[in-house]
Amino acid sequence: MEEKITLLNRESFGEFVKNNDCLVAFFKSKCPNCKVLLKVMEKCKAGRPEIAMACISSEDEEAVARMLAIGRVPTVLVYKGGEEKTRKSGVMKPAELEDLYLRA
Amino acid sequence: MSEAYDLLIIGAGIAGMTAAIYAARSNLKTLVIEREICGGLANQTHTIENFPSHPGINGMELMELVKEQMLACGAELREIVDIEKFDITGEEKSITTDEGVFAARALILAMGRTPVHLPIEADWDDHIHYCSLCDGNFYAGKDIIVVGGGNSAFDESLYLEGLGVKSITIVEALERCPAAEMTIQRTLATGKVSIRTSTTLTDIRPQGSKAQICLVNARTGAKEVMQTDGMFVFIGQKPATSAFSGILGLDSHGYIETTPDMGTNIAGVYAAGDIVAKRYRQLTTAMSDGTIAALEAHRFLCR
Ligand SMILES: Cc1cc2nc3c(=O)[nH]c(=O)nc-3n(C[C@H](O)[C@H](O)[C@H](O)COP(=O)(O)OP(=O)(O)OC[C@H]3O[C@@H](n4cnc5c(N)ncnc54)[C@H](O)[C@@H]3O)c2cc1C
Repeated sequence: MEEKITLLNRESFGEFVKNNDCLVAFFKSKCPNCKVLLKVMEKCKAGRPEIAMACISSEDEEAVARMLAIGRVPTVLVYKGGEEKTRKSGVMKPAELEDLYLRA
Repeated sequence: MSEAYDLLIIGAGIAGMTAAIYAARSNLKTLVIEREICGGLANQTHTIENFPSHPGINGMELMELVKEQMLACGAELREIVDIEKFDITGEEKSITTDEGVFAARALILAMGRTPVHLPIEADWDDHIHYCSLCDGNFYAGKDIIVVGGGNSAFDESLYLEGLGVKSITIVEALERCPAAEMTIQRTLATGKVSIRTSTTLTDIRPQGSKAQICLVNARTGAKEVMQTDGMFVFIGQKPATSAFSGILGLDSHGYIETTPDMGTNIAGVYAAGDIVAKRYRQLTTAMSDGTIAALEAHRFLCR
């Protein structure tokens, strides 16, 4: 079990979502709401270490963001069984993030 | 059981962080409690051009520097904290949060303001934005609407134009845009911006990723329908003080009324920054409030 949020890139993205039921956040470096969401993710991870969590830069990995039609950041995608089950954009609270994963 | 401090500061914008620097340097055991992350509104400003010592600096970068300084001074910080209850009328002020209960004899409220949302319901939330730094670059080559004609709206329009947005229509309900004339002229000089004054946005009809919007001119009654790819809203901010109504002295808009020394009607409770009833709301004025509030809190605790 990873203790931290995993930073993905175009090479590792596919493998990660195939092998883990997980939350993946798309972010941009200069985006304040992304910074908030990543901090929320850290807090959520501290309380639920068993949930795999990752993030990927929509600037550095533009092709992945385009392929998944990421229209705004932050956007969190939930993958289960290798498939995208749901997604949500904007800032959330730790409990809302956990709920997004559990309900998907 | 509560964790005891000398001073609690609610909100880690520039006002709260400045107060924390002064308090920690005065040897007060200080805890800053923040709902999101350090920096507050300034995090959303791409370039700040009127901060003494920095002719032009990114807001988030500036706030990161202040945060480092605050922590180096010894102030404690908790981010992503939900406050569930404020008990501030007694000698000991106590704050109940999802991370526990914190108590101190002195408290500084520095929760700033939050953006006013568009008063129109439309199933188009993914295209209605309040932060151009976050969402602007998805609109390169596209047509957008900016709602509001104040300085924020024009500054953000300039930023969006710089990202390669195809056209910007600024919609302002007043007869004249309240923004500074120099900023208005700079924005118009880009050739990509048009302004509709005395105009209200009355309807948004989503059409796939685009929307058809309806604008009504209040003077002539004329209606204009146009298609847009997205919308950025800058129609003001409101103070987050509803929890204190009936407890703290608030003005008719909900801002906290303070003495010149940033004291409120409750002994040991101070307010600083944009949350305070005052005319000018800038980083420098928030810093001034934070400084005074911390020094007064120190004086109060030493009595
Ligand atoms: C678009 C825009 C551009 C601007 N540009 C400039 C500029 O160029 N120069 C300039 O000097 N000023 C500028 N300003 C004004 C400046 O940003 C503000 O005056 C300043 O940031 C106010 O600081 P503050 O600490 O009072 O509040 P804020 O920065 O709003 O910080 C308040 C903090 O409190 C937190 N908070 C709120 N409620 C709670 C709660 N219940 N519990 C815990 N924490 C809470 C918030 O999350 C936030 O972090 C601009 C403002 C806007 C909107």
